[in-house]
Order: sequence, then C-alpha cells, then structure tokens
Amino acid sequence: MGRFIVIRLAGMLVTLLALALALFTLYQWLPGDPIENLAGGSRRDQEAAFDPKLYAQRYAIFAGRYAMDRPYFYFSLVPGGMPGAFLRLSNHRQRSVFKSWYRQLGDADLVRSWVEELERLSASDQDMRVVNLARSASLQTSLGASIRQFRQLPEDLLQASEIKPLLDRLEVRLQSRQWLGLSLRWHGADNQFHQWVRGLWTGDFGRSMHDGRPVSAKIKEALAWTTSINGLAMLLAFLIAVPLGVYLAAFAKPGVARWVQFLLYAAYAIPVFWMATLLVVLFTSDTYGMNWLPSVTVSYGYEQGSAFQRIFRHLGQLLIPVLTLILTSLAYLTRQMEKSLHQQLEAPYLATARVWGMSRRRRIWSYAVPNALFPIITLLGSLFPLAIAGSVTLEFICNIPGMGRLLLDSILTKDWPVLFYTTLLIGGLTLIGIFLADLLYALLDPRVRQSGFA
Amino acid sequence: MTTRKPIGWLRTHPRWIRWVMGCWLGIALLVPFLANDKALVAHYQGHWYFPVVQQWAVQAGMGRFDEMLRIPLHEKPPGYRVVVGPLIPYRAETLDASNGNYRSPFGPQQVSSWYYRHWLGTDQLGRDTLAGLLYGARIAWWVGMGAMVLSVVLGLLLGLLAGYYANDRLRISRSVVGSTLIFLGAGVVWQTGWTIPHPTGWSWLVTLMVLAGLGMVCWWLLQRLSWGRRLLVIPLDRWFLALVGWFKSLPGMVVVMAILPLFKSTGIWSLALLIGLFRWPLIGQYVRAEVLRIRHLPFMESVRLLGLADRKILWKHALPNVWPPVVVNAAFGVGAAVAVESALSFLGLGLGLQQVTWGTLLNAGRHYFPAWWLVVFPGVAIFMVVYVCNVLGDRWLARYEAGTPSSDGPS
Repeated sequence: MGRFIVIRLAGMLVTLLALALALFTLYQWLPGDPIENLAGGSRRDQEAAFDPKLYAQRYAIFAGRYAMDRPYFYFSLVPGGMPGAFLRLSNHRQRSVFKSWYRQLGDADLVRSWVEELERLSASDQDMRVVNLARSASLQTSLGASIRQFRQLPEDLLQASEIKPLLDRLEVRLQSRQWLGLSLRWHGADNQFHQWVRGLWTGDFGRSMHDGRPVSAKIKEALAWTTSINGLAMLLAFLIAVPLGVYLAAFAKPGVARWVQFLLYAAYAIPVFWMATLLVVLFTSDTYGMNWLPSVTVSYGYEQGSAFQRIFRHLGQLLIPVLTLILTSLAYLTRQMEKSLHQQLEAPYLATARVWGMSRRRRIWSYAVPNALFPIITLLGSLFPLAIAGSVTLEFICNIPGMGRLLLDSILTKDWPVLFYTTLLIGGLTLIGIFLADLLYALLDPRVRQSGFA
Repeated sequence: MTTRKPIGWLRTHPRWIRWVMGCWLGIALLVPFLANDKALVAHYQGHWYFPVVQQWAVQAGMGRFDEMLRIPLHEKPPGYRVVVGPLIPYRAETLDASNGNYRSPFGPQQVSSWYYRHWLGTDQLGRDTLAGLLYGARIAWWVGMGAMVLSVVLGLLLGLLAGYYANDRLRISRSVVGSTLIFLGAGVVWQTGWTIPHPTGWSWLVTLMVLAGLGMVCWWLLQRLSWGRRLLVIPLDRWFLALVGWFKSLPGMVVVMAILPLFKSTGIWSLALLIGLFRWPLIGQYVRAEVLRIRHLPFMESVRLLGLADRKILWKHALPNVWPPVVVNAAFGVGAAVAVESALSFLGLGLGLQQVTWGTLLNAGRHYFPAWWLVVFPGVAIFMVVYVCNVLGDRWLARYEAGTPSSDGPS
C-alpha cells in the first residue's frame, strides 16, 4: 500500500513537471510579447516622442522583473563560438533573430557589426526607405533576404548609406559553409524555466503581467469562488442523485421510471452554458415577467473582507451557477448510480440473501447500495476536470471571479504567469482528484485492497 | 469463441435520428444553396447568371463578380430578375440595415414580401438568425467530424499497436535502434554545427543523404557484431498507458483554451485538430483493451502460426474486431466536439469574431435579454446535435453489449 502511494505520487510529480515543460514551451511559441505592452512598445508608432533608448531601458527592466533576460532552459546546445550574451538577450524575438544570424554567419563580430550598422541606419536621417528597410531588417531572420532588399535600393541611396562594404562581406560569408562545432552551455538554475517551476515549491508565483498583483493572491481568491460553487453543487447533486438512482433502479414503476430516465437523459445533453444563459435571460429580469432569481451583474472587485466573507455576502449570486451545475451533473450521476445498482441487483449474492428471507428493503439498503456506490466514488475524481471546464463558461456568464474567469482573462490579456500557474494548478488538482478516488476505492473495496493494486 | 451477432448498426435506432443526422449533413453540404444573398439563377441585361455557383469560383480566386451581382438580394438590384432564388435570401453575414436592432420573429419587420421575412428574427446588426443557424450547422459539422476522424485514426493506430505488441512482442534488433539513434544524433550535430549558407539550395538533400549513408554504415557494422544482433524488447503498451494517463489527467478544454492563441487565425481545421488531439486517448484505450482481449483467441493464434505479416494481421483480422467500441465512442465524440466548439466560440475564443456560429449567436443573445430567439434557437440546435449523438452512441453500445459474450464466459 505504502509503496503504491509513493509510486503514484512520484508519477504525479513527473506528470506535473512534464505539463509545466509543455506549457513553458508553448508560451515561447505564442505570438505577441507581453513585455512589449508593459514597456509601452505598442505606442511606438503613434508617439512622436518615442525614444528607442528609453524604451530599451524600460524593456530591460520589465524583462528582468519577469526573469525573461535569462536562458530558456538548464542547458542549451548551440553552434560553437556563439557569444553567451545572445542567449541572455531580454527580447525574446531579438534573441531568436541574433541566434539565427549567428547560425548563418558563424562570426560573432560580423553579427555585431551588422547590428550596429542597422541601428545606425534606423536612427539616422537618411532617406525613409533606407531607415524603414533597416528597421525591418533588424527583425528579419533571413540575412540573404535582407541583403537582397538592400541591393534593390537605388544606387545613390545605397552609396549614401555606406552599407555596401558590409553587405559584400556578409554575402561572401554566406556563400560558404563553415564547421563551427557544437557547444553545450550549462546555465544551472539561472534560467527561465527554473524560475517558473521554482514557484511550485517556494509558493512564490511572481506577479501578474496584467495588473501587477501577486499571482498567488489572484489564484487564492479565484479558487475560493470556484471550490465553493462546485463543492456546493457537487454535494447537492450527490445527495439528490443517489436516492434518485436507487428509486429508479429499485422502487419506481416502469412507466414513471422511463419518463424520469428520459428527462435525465435529455438534461445530460444540455450544454452548461446554454442552461445558464437561459436561466439568466429568463429569470433575472422583468423582461419575461419572471424576475425570480437574483441578478448576476454585481461587480465584486475592491470589496472588503476575505474571499469567503465576500462569497457569503453574495450567496444569492451563486444560485444560478449552482442550479445549473446540479441540473447537468445530476443527470450523469443518477444514470451511473442507477446502472451500478442494477448490476448489483442482478448479482447472485442478493438472490442468496433473498432465499435466506432477508427483507427487500434490507437487501437493497444494506447490501446493494453500498456496493453500488464504489463506482460512483471513482467518478468524483473524473468529474473534477469536467467541473473546471464547465466553470469557465459558467463564470463567464454569471460574472463570478473564479478560476475559469481567471483563466479566460489571462488568455485574453496574455498574462503568462497567471495562465501558467492556473493551468498547472488545475492539472495538479485533477491528478490529486484521480489519485484520491483510486485510494478511496481501494480503501472501501476489500477485493482491491487485498490484491495490492494490480 | 467469438460468436458475436452480426451487428446491423443502422437498424438499431429510431428513424428520426437518421432524419436529424441526414438533415445536418444536407445543411452542411448545401448551405450556400439554402441560404444566400445571391440568386441561384438570375437574368440580367440579356444574360443568364448562376451567382451561387459563381461564388465558389470567386472564393477560389478564379473569377470576379459583376458589380450588380454583388448587391445582396434584399436590396433589390435594379433590372435584375431572380429566376430561382435560394430558400432564405440571406447569408449569415448579410447585414439587413432596415431590420437591425433585434427584430423579433413575430414582430413587425420592414420587408418587401414574405420571402424576405426573417423567420427567426435578427440580431443587433440585422443579420438573419436562421441563416446564421444554417451556416453554424456547417461549422459544427466539420469541426465535429474533423475532430472525430482525427481521434479515431490516432486512437485506432496507437491502440492497435499497443494492444497487439503489448510489452513483449515488439522486438527490434539493437543494430536498427542504435543506427537510428546515431542517425538522429548526427542530424542534430550536423544541423547545429554547420553554418547555413544563403541560397540553401539542395544542401538539405545532401545532408539527408550523407546522414542516411552514415546510418546505414552504422547498421551494417552493428549487425555484424553479436551485440548488435541481439533483440531489444520495446514495452510499447507501457508507453501507451503512460501517454493515455497523461492526457487523461489534463483538463482538456482548459489546455485547448491555453493553446488556441498559438494559432494566428483559428480555422475550422485547427479547432478540429485540437479537439481531436485531446479525444483520442479515450478511443485508444478501448481499442487496446479490445485487442488485448482477442489477442489470444484461436483465430488470432492461427493466423499468426500461418506466418502472416504483423501488418496484415492487424489490418485484416484485428481491425474488423475492434470497430464496435470505436464507433460508439466516435458518436459520443462528435457531440462532445460540437459542445466544446460552441462553448469556445461562445467565450469568443474559437472561430468567434469573423464567423457566425451557434456559440456566437448564443453569446449575442446574452447582451439583450428580450431577444429570446438568439438564445433559444442556437441552444436547441446544440442540444439536438449532442442529444442525437448521445442516443446514437448509447444505442450502438447497447447493441454491442448485447452481442458480446459476457466476460466470465469461456473465451
């Protein structure tokens, strides 16, 4: 048993790290640069007083704050002779462009002089065509294409820009292949991935890129809302579903049972977000004369008290999400309970009990129902990811600042730290849910307990 | 023994389900003819036109519309006679300016004849809800089917291999594994170590040939050694289970949401790809279990003793026996994919802004409560599709379970 738990926990840790690595890799590919927004780079084109030097400084400061000026991973495999500074450029895009230039030229000095030349031209008072070309070339990966574009400029402009000798040198260099060799650089803990993952055990998740609040505070508050909604809904759904399932499987008249089954089956196909939208549209205003449920358009921000106090204050607001969740998960839980109990009722041991003269009530409640509950318990673990996925749309509709809402907002604002830790947290909780369900199942079922977990 | 009753799949469900699925497919394929702001056949200045057919050529970049044919039907292009019009004279994106601001299906509408009436109302911009529903059905169909096909292909392939080879049956000689590793490693070294010349030309081909040559030489050398001839056992099943476990522990929709911004513009296919990618483990699991079950049955043993190639055994004998769970899961999968797609576009993350889908229609209804038609009709459409898929899956499952010998019987 102990060995099983240790193995499972280790497996969970590996899975979590793999997820972290996958997410981290994904964020390197995502379009858009949140640091650029923070440093005010998006205003580059509108403002006449835009100062590239000042912008670069601001950029470096913000990039440093989010550890973006470090190498990506614990090690990097690069062509021999690549300057270490290229791996530590704070601008993600610039970094990949510089690395690519080095891979084409194989000469750090030549890369540097190309960079200086482009900077000189971008800041100079040359013809706009030259300046624009220099600006676009500074972000273009392919040197060959940049050179060709420069060559297509009118001869007098090219002469005036004094870039020709450098173009010739680059071109000669590009025409041949050189063997640079390989070098494996070890960065140790001084890398971006480590900084992100470190938060998992230090508990310091850094700050949000969107509003600068600590990520852990944002997540903590969101978690309080989501767990209270889902916990409440799950508890109520469970309390209704089990007796209902027992009733359907063992006590209901066939005609009644068929109708209830049909309704539940149909309810199972209702998308959560449609149900919630219907409830909001029909029952929260006087439009249709049915203003029965509390409206959901209250803003929650900046209120005093802990998250739970605020939730308690807005308890009425939870009515619609909880109702929706109950209705949709009720169908599933009841069906499973009914199926499970049906299987138990056909089992030979109940026939034996009947032959012994045990009452039907006792047979069902003391023997069949407890056994039928096992599979339902394992369901709880698998219901968790569903609940989170459902809560994204639900919190969006009902304006609740929970995990789903946080996730959605962080995606829309490219708030990477929040997105990273929220996704990891949901993944981790899912894993724990599955693990606990298995554990509970094992503890309750003597057969599984004794076989030592196949 | 595997005396399973022959399964007449299509005869196991009520007729109305076939009807709904048929309608959905018909709409998905024919929607430009059903709802369009151009005529099917038109007469203009002595010429005959087929604008809807022409629309394909224009969209493919092979033609151009005459100025007159660009004017939507409800604006009544002068001198232009509609000979055969579409069922609904609007596309999903057609703006009917005189019927903006949420016209109710039952309320007054400023239309010239009943033909131009918005039978299911309009949204704020004056877009026809019914046309939006029909075009949304097309998107839902392709996303659902695309995701289903991808997950079935992946699940079948990986599940079959994992179940058939299990942990002990896939044996590869060390020389093959070693030379492949050397090939890949040398590729990395080669690619990183050399500079990239500017006209790259055919250098990649030369690289590939050199590396392949190196790999082959290594293989030849290794297979001459007794060390290289020994077989490595590949625990394919263990890897498969780990992968499935990993996918199942992910909250699928959350991860899909997190990955979506990666695509510059989310199209139908990228959405189907993502949804299918998170659905295959479910199918793969069932396929694996099924193959594990039939692996030791007499007919499988005998084809193996006959010396059939693994490929043939898998394709001709294993595959036909694992279809039932695949079909059942595929049916559920289509419904789930449609639900996920509409949820994503409801949130404004999926196809969202450019295209009218069931999800975006529903979201529009949220902003103006009196427009019940924007909430009810798309919701009913999503519900219908998910419901029908669930019924289909359940009926097939029941049929399949009825035909399967129980697990404790002789096997």
